[in-house]
Amino acid sequence: MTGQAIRLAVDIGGTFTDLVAQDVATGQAVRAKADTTPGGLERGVLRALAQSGVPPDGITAFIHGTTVVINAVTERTGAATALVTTRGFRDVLEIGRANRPDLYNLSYRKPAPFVPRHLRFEVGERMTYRGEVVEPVSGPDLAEVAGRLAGAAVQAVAICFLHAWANPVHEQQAAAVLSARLPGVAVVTSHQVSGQWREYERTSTTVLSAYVQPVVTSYLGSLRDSLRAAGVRAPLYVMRSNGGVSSFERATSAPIALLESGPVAGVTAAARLGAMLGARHVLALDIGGTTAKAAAIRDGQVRVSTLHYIGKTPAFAGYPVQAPTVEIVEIGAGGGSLVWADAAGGLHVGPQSAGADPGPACYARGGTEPTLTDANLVAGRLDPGYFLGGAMKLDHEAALRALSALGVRLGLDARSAARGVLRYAVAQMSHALRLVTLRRGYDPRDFAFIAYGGAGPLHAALLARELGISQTIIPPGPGHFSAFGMLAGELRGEAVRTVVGPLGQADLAGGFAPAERAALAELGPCAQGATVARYAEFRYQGQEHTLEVPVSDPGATEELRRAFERRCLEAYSFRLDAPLEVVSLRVTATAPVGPAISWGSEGPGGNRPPSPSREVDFDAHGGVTEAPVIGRADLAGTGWVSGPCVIEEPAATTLVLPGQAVRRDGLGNLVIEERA
Amino acid sequence: MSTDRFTLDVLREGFAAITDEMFVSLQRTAQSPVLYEVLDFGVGIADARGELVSQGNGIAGFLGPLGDVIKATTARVHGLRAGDVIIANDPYSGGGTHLSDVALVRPIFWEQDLIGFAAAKGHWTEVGGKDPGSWTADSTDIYAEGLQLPFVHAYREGVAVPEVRAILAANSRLPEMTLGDLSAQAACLEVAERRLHELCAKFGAGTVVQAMGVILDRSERLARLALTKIPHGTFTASDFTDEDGLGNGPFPVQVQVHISVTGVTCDFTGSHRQVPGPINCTWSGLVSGVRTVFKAITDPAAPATDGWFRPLKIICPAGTIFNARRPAPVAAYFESTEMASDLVWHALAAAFPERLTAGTFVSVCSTSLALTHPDTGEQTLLVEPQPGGWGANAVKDGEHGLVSVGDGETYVIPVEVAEQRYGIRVERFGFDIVEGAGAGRRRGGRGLVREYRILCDEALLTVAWGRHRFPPWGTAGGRDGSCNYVEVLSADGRSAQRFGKVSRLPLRRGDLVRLVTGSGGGYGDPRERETELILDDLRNEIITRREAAETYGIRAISRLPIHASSASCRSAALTVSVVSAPRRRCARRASSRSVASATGRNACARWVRNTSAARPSWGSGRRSTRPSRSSRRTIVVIVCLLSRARLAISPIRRPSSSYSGTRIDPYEGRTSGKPAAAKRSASSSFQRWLALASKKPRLSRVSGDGRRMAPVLAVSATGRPAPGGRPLIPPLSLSGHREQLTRGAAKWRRMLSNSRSSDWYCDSNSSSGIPGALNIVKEYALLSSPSAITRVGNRASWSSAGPAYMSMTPLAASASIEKQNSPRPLTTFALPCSYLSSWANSVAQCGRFSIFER
Repeated sequence: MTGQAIRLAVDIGGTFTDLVAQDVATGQAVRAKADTTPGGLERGVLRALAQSGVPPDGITAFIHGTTVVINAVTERTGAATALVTTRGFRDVLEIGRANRPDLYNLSYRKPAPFVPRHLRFEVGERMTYRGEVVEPVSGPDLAEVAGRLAGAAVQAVAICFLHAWANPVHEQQAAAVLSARLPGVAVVTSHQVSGQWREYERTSTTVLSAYVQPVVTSYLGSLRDSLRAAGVRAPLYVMRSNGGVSSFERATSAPIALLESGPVAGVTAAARLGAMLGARHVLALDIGGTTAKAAAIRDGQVRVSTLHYIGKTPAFAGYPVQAPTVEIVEIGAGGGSLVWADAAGGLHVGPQSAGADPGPACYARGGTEPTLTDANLVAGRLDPGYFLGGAMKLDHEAALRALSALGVRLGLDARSAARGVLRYAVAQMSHALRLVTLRRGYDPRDFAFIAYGGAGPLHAALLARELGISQTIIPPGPGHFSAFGMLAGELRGEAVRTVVGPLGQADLAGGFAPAERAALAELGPCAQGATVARYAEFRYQGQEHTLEVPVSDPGATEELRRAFERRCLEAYSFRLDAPLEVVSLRVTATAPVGPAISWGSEGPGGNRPPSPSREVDFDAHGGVTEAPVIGRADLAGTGWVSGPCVIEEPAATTLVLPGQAVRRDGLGNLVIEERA
Repeated sequence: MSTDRFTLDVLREGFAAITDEMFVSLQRTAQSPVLYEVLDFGVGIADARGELVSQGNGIAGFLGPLGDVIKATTARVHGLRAGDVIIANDPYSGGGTHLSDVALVRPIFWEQDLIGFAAAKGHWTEVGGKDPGSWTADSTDIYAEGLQLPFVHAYREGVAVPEVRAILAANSRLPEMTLGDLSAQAACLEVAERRLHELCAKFGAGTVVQAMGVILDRSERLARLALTKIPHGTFTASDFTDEDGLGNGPFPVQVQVHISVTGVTCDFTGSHRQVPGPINCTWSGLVSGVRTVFKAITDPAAPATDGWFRPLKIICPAGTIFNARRPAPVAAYFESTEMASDLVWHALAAAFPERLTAGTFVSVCSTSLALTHPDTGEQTLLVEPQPGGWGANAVKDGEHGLVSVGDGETYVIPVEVAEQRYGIRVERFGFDIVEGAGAGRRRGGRGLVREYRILCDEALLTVAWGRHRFPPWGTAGGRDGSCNYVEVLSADGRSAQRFGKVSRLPLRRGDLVRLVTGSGGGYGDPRERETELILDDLRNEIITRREAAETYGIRAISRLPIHASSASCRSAALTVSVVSAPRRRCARRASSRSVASATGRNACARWVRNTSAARPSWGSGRRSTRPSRSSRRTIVVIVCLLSRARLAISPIRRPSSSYSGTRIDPYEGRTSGKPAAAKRSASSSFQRWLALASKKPRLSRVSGDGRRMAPVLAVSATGRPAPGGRPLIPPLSLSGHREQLTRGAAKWRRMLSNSRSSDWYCDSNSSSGIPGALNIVKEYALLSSPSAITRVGNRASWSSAGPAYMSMTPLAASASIEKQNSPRPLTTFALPCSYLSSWANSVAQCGRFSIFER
């Protein structure tokens, strides 16, 4: 690759550092993989860069997806952090909302706080919800806290005062004092990080942000230095939870926004691909080894939620983060998910996973428990000789043994058990898709369905039929789709402000102005020519839960009301005559990063699938049928091919059911449609 | 036919999805804050007989009523048609609890056939009655508590019945909210019908109905299976409900629980007859309370269908506090529901030391404040439950500030939201530290204190709190917790009142309402609590110094200030605790008894004495304290160094299932000149021992750059490494010996395990050449909370957020630490006492450490 306009994305995973680069002019793409190097991740990046052969000075944009933040939080390897709160409220962080999601577990454990009690300090100060000062910040208190913090040897301090969303001046004063007294310590205030109300959620966000700040600063700093030393002169970007990218400098100031840096890239890519295909609504499904992740994209807009939980499950309260995050519904059913039967003969898939080691039984690495992959193998939907393009042989016998054992418990043979497992798994995955569509009042049939991830193409056709979706798209290189999402990333600034008041009385325009400034400021020098979108969250007075409505004219009260009512009917089949109340305002500013990438680069063709056809169990959709096997590359220019058939490519297998047809479009996507 | 069974599994998934969707729909559209914030509601779908197949509950308290109300509907309403919605809140017949909990039931038909029901029951803020908010703490009969809705049609064939709406509106102080709740609840039933119809269209109604039956049967089978795996026997408990809101009480209550393979029977016969005040509960409330504990001991995670509870039998005579008859007042029924849970729980706590805990604060602690918003002039009503302390059990300390057993996915109202919505000022929301309460080897969780300053001219306060006079019980020798109470301080600060129940107490501008919930009970003898956990609690001010001394037996022998003031010493992060207990002294202390709850600051101290006599000590008989523990010569050194935490962090990231496989030195690479103190203490005998343990001498090992490897705990006054690396605290251990000891792990472990019951190894004259007493030294990354494992999603991770510390403990204690509650040690090694004491002396010379003895 010798071009002069190369976009390059690097995604660091647990085992591999993946690199994808594309020459914008020619569309030529390069992929490279290097071992992840813990303790100095930049070394892996440089190695991957060297391996790819991309000339460092030809790179025009470097985009990075990182798990540094989420790892620091889940593994608790962030900085020693202290918290400063309003007097009387240092325990808010540990009390949380006092909820007990695991209702019948009377030995429930609350989430452990990220700041122990002895590092939570109180300062005399008070603000009202209208931002009026009741009690000024106590200077002596601050001085004492500063002294104690100096002795505590913390690396980061979070400051969260009550009602800082309404008036941040006290936090600013405290931050000024503490920064001056504690050189080298990261001081993070809640109004910078969140700007939304609810003190526990904001405190949690601020604390987590402070907790990861030193880690992120040093990580991005050393990555920048080594890239510069290697001759990369391009601007450096990092992917954020909101689906956009931001410069390293900006990212450092609000590192918690990098939390879901990795997973959202696929959704961004799906949105981008949907736009290129002219699809209005897109349903994105990523089926990996342990989970299936679904997201709905309406009118080309990725759905962004302003409250996100880390680690929340039906049995654990999790840690709230008030940072705009692409909404993704995740369920514990992926290729490696274990399949099991309970004592009463009920069948379950996941959420436990066989992981990479021992992996599914058919990997022959010592796993004996059946997984979804084993079921697919037994049903003939996977070819034991062509897994990863033949690079790995699957042990059909082992899969059969594992499923036979399951079948014994259910009183069935292995093949019937496999059928049942697949049927159940598809039901479970379709549940995830329903959650992001029907539960929000959308009809899945209005969506273009884009399936990716290692196991996405295998289940896509079944899911499409289950949900009545007419068109399914399998992008080229479905296993690397997320990395392409990073390449396609655009700059995105986002600001949320809590502004509470009745619609008509609340000063929307006045609230939007600072939010807009903040959002644009996130874009830095690219703010000119940015596209700005405004949203407001409304609710009926007396209700708690809000719905977001795009705002074109903050003064058009009636229009906003009608838009809200439409959303409300859509979402809840429900409408009231109650007056409306605005709760918060959100502004997004987006700007492209250099020239757009082109789509249509296929992965390497790989060797041809070994057999021209094989016996596949289509269950209710045609039973066991001899289905032709076609290499994905061979599909070019053939027009529609009727199902049943199996499309093989090195990293994925696509199943096409009887009654469906498939073709390859101009961009290299597989398009599956119902033909009945 | 063989695949049909999977259709049933698919349908099970489908039913769960339906209740999920109903739940979210109601939460998002409800008008009452109690519904959308507290999630005080339950939704479910049932088969045509009214047996619940799937339910979604925000709180545990709806485990009983939802199925009952459907069964009662089938019995009482005839000629149901599609689109009908029945409304009911009658407490004395099926599914009723109190009048505020209004149930809606919708029959679901498919082609003329009744295939099932959808039901939703939720707490509406207003259903009339004598008090705003409709629940009272001093009603004397049901007629004062609000509008009764005896299974009438709210909707007929999809159309709202205007008469019912009119009656509801006329009887409510907040008609819009009440009608809004009605619409929201009805809408979520419509969602259920739509989804069930979709399933019928796809799989056929017959299959759907069959699936419902199979789900119930399977659920029962799993419950019966669970029964075979739990302890069997007869267990009893008795207690007191303290007051009924009218000044009567206390009332004795009791239960006998019989567990066998065939089922569980809970017999409440002998409990007090129904009482004049509104704390009576009726059948459904009792069922909820008992089912919650039944679920906890069988399988908390399995779906809660009515089938699951078929093996559970409840006996309770009518006309008692747990099964009241019309017209007994029931507005605060949840207090008796909670007490029913607590009684069964108490009876079984000893038999289920991991699934159940010691006693909790057992009260919803419902609080209602009628206010005028000073900024808008609007009337507002703040209704909320208060979280409190939970009990400890064999595997964990109690949780601080958690909602009660009858609640669940219940969120406290954020301070900022409360101030904006109700025009009140919250002045404090934090842990309430009651000395001695809940002490134990595992400590009970702390209750909370929440303070409201009244900003409007006049306000009315109503609270109905239980456990005001009888504190939560401890188990296995753990101390009792503390009581719940409400305190009102008048604006001028002169008068203060304290109570557990009150109705419409007038308040004025400037008055302060202090809501204090109790600590949970402790588990096990506090004297057996591990030193590092006690010191951790001290540092976090979860316990006081006096409590540490009197209850836990760990005493500061001299106080060396870290900074100028002793105040900063208390919470300074830098603490070196040297604990040493000479033999003679300890023996003397063991003979003198100190009772922690008699400190005087515990508001409930006198009740501790009263009730321990009144209660049979089911499973809570004090374990005899072994004198051997106190006669141990123990030196425990705990070094808490924040600045070292960073260094300790990276090793813990590497996977390691046992410490023998972890040869990680957190101080690796930090070199510094070896101070004189360490040299002095490196006695020749120790060197000999080391040489033996590792087969070759390592003390002179030289690092790559030619300097000696000397792990140094260097901290300056500000907590950062001193300039030039000069150590303020001398190195604890000698270079390289950690590695040696881990390599010689098998050897020293065998050696130490041979050390009989004595917890230190003393064999100075033996031919092995091992010097004097040895202590196991472990280095930890300290947790920020008592729980060692943090679960984030499906992964458990060890926390290392806090400071690293080292502990030196006798072998016996160290074994129990590892088993129970401690973080995994980074490294483990042994050091002789002589070395340690000289090290401690040099540490003490630094002049900034607390020294504790135990």
